[in-house]
Amino acid sequence: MEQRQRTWKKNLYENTDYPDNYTDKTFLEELKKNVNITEISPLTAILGAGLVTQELCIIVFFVAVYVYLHSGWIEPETVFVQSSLVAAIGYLTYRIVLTDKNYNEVLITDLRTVLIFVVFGYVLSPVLKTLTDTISTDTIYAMTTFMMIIHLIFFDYGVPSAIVSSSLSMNAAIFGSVCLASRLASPFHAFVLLTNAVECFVLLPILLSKGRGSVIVLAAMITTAVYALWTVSLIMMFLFICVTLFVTVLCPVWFLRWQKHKENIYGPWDEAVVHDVRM
Amino acid sequence: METLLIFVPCALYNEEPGTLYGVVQESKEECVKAYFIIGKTEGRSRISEVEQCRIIGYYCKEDAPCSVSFGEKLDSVLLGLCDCEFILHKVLNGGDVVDMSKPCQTICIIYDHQKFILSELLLQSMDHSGLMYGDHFKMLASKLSTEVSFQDSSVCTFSSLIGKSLVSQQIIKLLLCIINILLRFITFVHPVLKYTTLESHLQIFLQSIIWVLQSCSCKKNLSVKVGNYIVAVIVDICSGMLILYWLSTITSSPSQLLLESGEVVVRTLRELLQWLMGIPAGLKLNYAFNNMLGQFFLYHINLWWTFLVVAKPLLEVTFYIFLCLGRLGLTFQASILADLLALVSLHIYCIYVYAARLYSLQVSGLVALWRLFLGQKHNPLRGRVDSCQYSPDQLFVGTLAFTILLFLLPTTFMYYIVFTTLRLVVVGLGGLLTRVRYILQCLPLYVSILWILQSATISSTVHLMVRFRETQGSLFLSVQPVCGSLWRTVQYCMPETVHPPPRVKWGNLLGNLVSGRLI
Repeated sequence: MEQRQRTWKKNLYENTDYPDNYTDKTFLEELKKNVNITEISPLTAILGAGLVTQELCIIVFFVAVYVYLHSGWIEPETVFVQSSLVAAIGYLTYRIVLTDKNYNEVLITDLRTVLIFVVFGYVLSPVLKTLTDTISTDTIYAMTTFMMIIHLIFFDYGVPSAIVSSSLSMNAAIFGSVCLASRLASPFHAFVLLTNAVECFVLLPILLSKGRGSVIVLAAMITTAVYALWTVSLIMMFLFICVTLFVTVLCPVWFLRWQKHKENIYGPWDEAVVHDVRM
Repeated sequence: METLLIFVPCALYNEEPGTLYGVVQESKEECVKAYFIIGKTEGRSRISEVEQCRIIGYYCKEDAPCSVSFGEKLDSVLLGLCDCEFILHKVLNGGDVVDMSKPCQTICIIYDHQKFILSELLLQSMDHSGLMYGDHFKMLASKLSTEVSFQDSSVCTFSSLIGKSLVSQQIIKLLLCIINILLRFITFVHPVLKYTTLESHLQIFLQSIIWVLQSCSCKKNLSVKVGNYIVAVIVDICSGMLILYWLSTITSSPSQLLLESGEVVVRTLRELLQWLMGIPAGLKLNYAFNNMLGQFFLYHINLWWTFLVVAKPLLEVTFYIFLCLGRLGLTFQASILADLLALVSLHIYCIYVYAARLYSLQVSGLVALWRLFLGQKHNPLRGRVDSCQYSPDQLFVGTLAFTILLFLLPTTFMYYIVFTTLRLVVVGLGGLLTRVRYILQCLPLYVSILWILQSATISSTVHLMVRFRETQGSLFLSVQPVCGSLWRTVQYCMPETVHPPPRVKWGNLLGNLVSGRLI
């Protein structure tokens, strides 16, 4: 038996008395588990899942407008006027109430953007209307569904992630709406639907990004979507309610219940993270 | 251990004893030393006229080795005759007597002097092959040919007689003047007429005639290449006359035939366009766009047809001129036919250009907009595709344009395919006519007849046979120039002014077809 004269040290040059495969009892004492654990409340989880539901509601609303226009239940002029009014109110709310910047200098840029949208939409709508004449309706609906799914996947929900590509999501949504617009009765219908699409997929997310974390907004959107679907088709409404429940209620519940299985280990082997020192 | 090659002319069989003269060549890398014995002379004075030739040995016929001293000669050969076979009595190499008992150290090669001089292709063919022993035969052939130019040639042919007479020289000079003037005139109008195949063919024809006349006046006799070309031209003209005669028996007015064929082409095209504007092959095309394109192309065809009808008298005059030129041979008729084909299919070419440009624009636009769809952009500075932050209105307009281009692509693509096929057919026919012209110009009729007769003038390789082998010592070989393969001989006899048509690059063609570049 050897005399252990020196205590075992955690380096390579001092432990000559010990055998090479010796494991000290201080092994892994620097291991820490779940250091940065954040307690997520149920409300936060539901609101986080609600971001996806919000976007889904927007899509449902847009499709409902299309169905109304296609079946002739609503006149395109009415839609145009109403949606323009809503857009104007939303714009003013965003600029004046929610943003602190001086809105004089951004007014010109915004007007220019609006002008581009309107002019291009109006000029190209006759072409867009006859674009898919010879393609069957089922193909069009399938393409639109596919494009909307891509829009949902790549949308920027405010979470930093590698898969987010806001331009791809916007382009997919516009592509899908052009596909739908080509099925309508007249170029003006197509123009109205296109304007609606721009308002829903380009302008509304900007406004809603200010309203993140608000349960009221979420609830209002879900209700509107359910009502819109109820007027269109009962089956779709039930399907939508199921999906919403799954996404907004079931998934956060699972997420919270399985938090206790979380086991992140940290230790001195992690990469050093350099923080800025604020002087 | 050097190998010694000794080249002995077989004419020495019948000669009297005398001094041998020739050239010695040594190559250190291959350890070979070659003694080229060119000939025999009685006296010693004539040798200094011939460049690089010097006394190389002595030929004593049937006598026993005689006591001829070579004096200061370092390399020399003492040759004798015994039982109708050559024997080497003594060989000096660098002053030392060579021991001839070692097997295969001295190789004696007996060659036929006449045949080597007669062959016109030997030197040319030796340039192509790179054999080690080919160098020696090349050296031999070149030494023999330079030696012939110093001596009176014992070959006296009909062609050389004609070549040497004074009258023929003057005639040749006159013809050269006339043809030079013609050629200058053709180069003068070149910028105007450079798109017609007839003009380029005429240029090549005149250049070939100049080449023939110049080689005739230089060499004072007809070489095989020139003879081959003249035979090909004669065959050409005869077949041209035959075809013209046959054409005149079929139809009385060839220009009417041309106009009728033009009309058939136009009618077929119109029907094709009408078919495309409907629902061709069940494809789903955009109706409005399809209609617009179809009407546009139909308008073009009508324009072209009106032009043809209005210009009919002018066409008749030009056609008559063409008929006159066609008497010069079948190749001229082929080039005229190629020109007529281009003229008749001009509207196909126009429509093809429109369709190709539209298609290439659409494809490049689609590629760029697809990148915008994904949020990327081509970076010309780095030559790669990077992600890019676009503003919403750029994205909106870009997506709209992408949708439009994507849905209009099948229509454009269909027009492009149809007219590219037609254009490829026309280009293929033109290429076929060019190759027919090339084959007619290089028709190796004369050379093939010579090859069948195994004439000595077209021999291009050599054939070695073992002649006699002493039990100890030197090896005796005999060499004969023989004809090579027919293909090789034909290749050597191609006229120099005629160039083969350019090869088709299939990879390039495919790339151009896919991206819509013009063919």
